[in-house]
Formats: sequence, structure tokens, C-alpha cells
Amino acid sequence: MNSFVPWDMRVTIDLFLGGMGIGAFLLALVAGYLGEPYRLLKKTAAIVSPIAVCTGLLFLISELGRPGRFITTLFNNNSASVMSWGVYLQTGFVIFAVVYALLILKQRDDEGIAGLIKWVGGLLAVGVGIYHGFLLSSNVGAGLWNNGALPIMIFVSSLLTGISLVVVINAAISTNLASSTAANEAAAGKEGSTLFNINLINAVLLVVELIAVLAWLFTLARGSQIMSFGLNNLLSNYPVQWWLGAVVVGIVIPLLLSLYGLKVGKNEQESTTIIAAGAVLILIGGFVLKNVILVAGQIKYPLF
Amino acid sequence: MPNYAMVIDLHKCAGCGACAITCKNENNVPEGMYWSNYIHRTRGKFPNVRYEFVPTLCNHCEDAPCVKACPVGAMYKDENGLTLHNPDKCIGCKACVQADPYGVIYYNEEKPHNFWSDKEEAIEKGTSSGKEVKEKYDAPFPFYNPDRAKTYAGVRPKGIVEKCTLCDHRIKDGDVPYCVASCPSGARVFGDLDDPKSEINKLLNKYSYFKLGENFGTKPKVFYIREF
Repeated sequence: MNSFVPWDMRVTIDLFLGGMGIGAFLLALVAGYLGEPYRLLKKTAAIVSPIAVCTGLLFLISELGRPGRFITTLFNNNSASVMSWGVYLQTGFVIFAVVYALLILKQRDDEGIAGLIKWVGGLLAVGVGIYHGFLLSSNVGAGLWNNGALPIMIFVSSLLTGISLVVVINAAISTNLASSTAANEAAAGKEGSTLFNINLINAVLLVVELIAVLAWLFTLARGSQIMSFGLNNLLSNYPVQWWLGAVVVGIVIPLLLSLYGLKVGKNEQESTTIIAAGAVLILIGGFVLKNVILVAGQIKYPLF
Repeated sequence: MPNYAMVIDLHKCAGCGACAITCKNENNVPEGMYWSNYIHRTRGKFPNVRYEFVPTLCNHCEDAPCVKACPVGAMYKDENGLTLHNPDKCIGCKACVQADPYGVIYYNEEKPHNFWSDKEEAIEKGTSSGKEVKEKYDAPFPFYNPDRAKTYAGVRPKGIVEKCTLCDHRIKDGDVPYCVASCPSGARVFGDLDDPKSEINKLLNKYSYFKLGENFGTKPKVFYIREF
């Protein structure tokens, strides 16, 4: 049997950057509904989104054996192929995300056609986020991938890393900006508008992620021979990456941090530090999660 | 239209590996790749030990996962039920390699048959280099089979995948796949699954059979009879 490992880390990078891109776009949409105090957050998210997705796609194209032929994927399509769906979803998403970013830069994102751009872009973002998981889960011989919990895990991880990327960039471009997120929250609270708390969003998403991870592990542990073979390979060959990197660093610690952040409430300085620290951990854990699943999932089940 | 398939008689198979090596000759298969291959394992504990040998090849599945996975339709089912690959369409994404649970699709990571472009001599000024030998032939490499190029790329270039075609270039001329022709014990039998009088249908009616990875739901068309 051919033991060649088809996909290298460039595919992980695409899943990671693409996931962050769609997560950032959806964050921009949510921030858009919260009014002026979140304009900066929305702007950063909207600009970062197409850049992340396009960079990921460049890595993916470079991973092709014939990178020059990537354009043929637009007209040589296959309706049964998940990768072919991804070509159209990602192309569509990048177009809408770029237009949305331009509208925000020109401060014309609340008028005319912008509403349609947001909605279609949002749907395409969800489509791309789900596609990443389907790309892996459609492989019938891959015990680690071929089940329903995986796409949810990948999608929620994408949302979390997208939000975290925007938080980290906001923190990085100005010493004031990270705290301005918290300041904005305080301002929004004062104004009586919806309380937009990254700690709350993170906490909800991390709980969903944790449930998806548990559902996935349980399905594999009690599933077919192929599934338990895949799980066994993950847990025996990549225990540190999985338990420490993906679960503890990427989910458990950020969840505890965000719960603590919720308790601290609007204490500006502390809240900002917690959000920033959680964001960095989520980014590290999100990358490790996608990478370890991609690497460990490529082992072939022995037929005989 | 015929629906080509193969029956492998495990009682007849002597484990010589001729199918694997002659396939490479017929199809110009590069080093490290085996369109026709075999799995072997030893089971049990001494003195109750059993050695098992199972020849393999692409299963030309009716519901081929590689065909479903290919984003550009380079992997396709033809009218004879064969799973074939179009090298001109292939983008080298390896989605088929990933989707194929049997590990029978190979990716050309490097330029194939690279040895014949190598200028290095095994013994300096004593032996010819691969490149020198190749230059004496009017072919991509010395043992190149030009017949392969009738229906598929004679040599599949770097950056795309390749796989067993069930020797479609031979069966279109009424011949059998070369692994079938070269099997010294006649363990491999080729035929039309839709023809009730074909030799493979006679064998499938006579013996119980199994297929590799049946639980994948891919409906493979390589049948194994007379399991030992």
C-alpha cells in the first residue's frame, strides 16, 4: 500500500488562515450591528479577512503539483467534489470580502448595496468555514476525519481564531487599541446598547468547541475499527500536540481566562490583558489543532 | 458496454510478485510506485504460523471515491467501468490520493525515471551514466514501452498523479491486462462482470469471494476467491 503523505503543512496553513479570514469577516458583520464604538474593530476585521484568506490560498496553490493549472479549477468543475465546491465558495468569498473592505475604507458600508454584500459575504464565509471540515470529513478511508463532529470542530476553531486574530492585531497596532476594545465595551454599556463582550463570545464558542471535541473523541472511541485506528494513531503518536497544544492551550486555558474575564467584568486593564492573552493562546492552539488533525488523519487504515 | 472487473484466485497465487514487476514494464511505472502490488503478512505464533499474500491493484470501484474527490474531473469513470485519469487535466492537488482508501494512486513528487537523466557514473570513467545510456535510445528511457502512450501519457510527468488503468490500451485491442497475461499460475482472471458467460462470473458463482475494504462503500471490482 502507498504510504505517501499527500498534504503537507501548507494545507494546514490554508485551513488556518482561511479559517481566520472567515472568522474575522463574521466578526466584522457582528461588530457592524453594534454601531460607532466598534467601527475600528469592524474595520480591522474586514481588512484582515480577505488578506488572510488570499494568503492561505497562495499557500494552497503552491502545494499543488501543477500550480499554474489552478485557474482551470474554475471551469473544469466536478459537482461531487468538495474541493470543487471550495473553489467557488472561496473565490466568491474573496470577491465579496474585498468589496466589503473597500466599502468600509471609503466609509460607505452602511448605504446602498453594502447590505447585500454583507449578507452574501456572510453566507459565503459560513460556507467556506464548513467546507474546510467537509474537505477532510469526505475522505471515507480516514478514520480520524470521516465523521460529523469534525466540521463543527474546524468551523468553531475558525471563528475563534478569526476573532483572536483581530484582537491581537488591534492590540499590536496601538497600545491604546486593545484597551479601546474594552473602552468601547464600557462605552457601549454606558450608552445602553448591546453589551459586546469578546470574553462572552469566546466563552460561548469555546464551550461549543469543547463539546464538539468531546463528541468527536467519543464517536471515534466507540466507532468502527477504522475510527478507533485513527484515534489510536492520534493519541499514541501525537499526544503532546493534541492534549497540550490543541486542547489545553487552545481550548481549556482560554475558556478559563474568558470565564475569569466575565467575572472581572469591565475592569478595563484586567479585561484587556485577559482578552489579549486568551487570543494568543487560541491562535496557537487553533493552529496546532488543525495541524495535528491534518497530519495524523492522513494515515491509511491497513486493509488486510 | 462491458463492465470490466478482475477475479484473483488466492489458491493459485504463488506469491512470485511477477504481476507487480511486469506491470511496471508495461506501464512505464517509475521507481517506488506499483500500480499492481501485493500485501503480505505473517499471522499466528510458531508452530502455527500462516503466511498470506494478496495481490492488489486499483479496484476500479463502481462508486470511486477518487472520482468524487477530484475537483477538476481529471479522475473519471469510462464507459467500460474503468476508473481512469486524464493527466492533461490533473492539477496535482492529491485529493484523489487522500480519498482513495486503498493507497493505489501515486503522486509524482519528482521527475519520474530520474536515473536516466543522471550524469553520475557508478564507477568514474568505468561505467556509463544513466544519461549516456538513455541517449543511445530513441525513447524517454531504455525499457520504455511506447504502447502505453496509446491511451495514457507514456510517462506521467512530475506534479501529477498516476494509477492503474487495467491496461486499457491492451483491452481496447481485445487483449487482457498485462498482470493477467504475466501471471504464471493464472491466478488473475479478467472479464466482463455484466456478461453472465464470462470466466469471472463462472468463478464468482462457483466460489464465495471477498473484496478489500468493502465497508468503505466504494463497490470495488476486484474479487478475491478461495481465501486460504
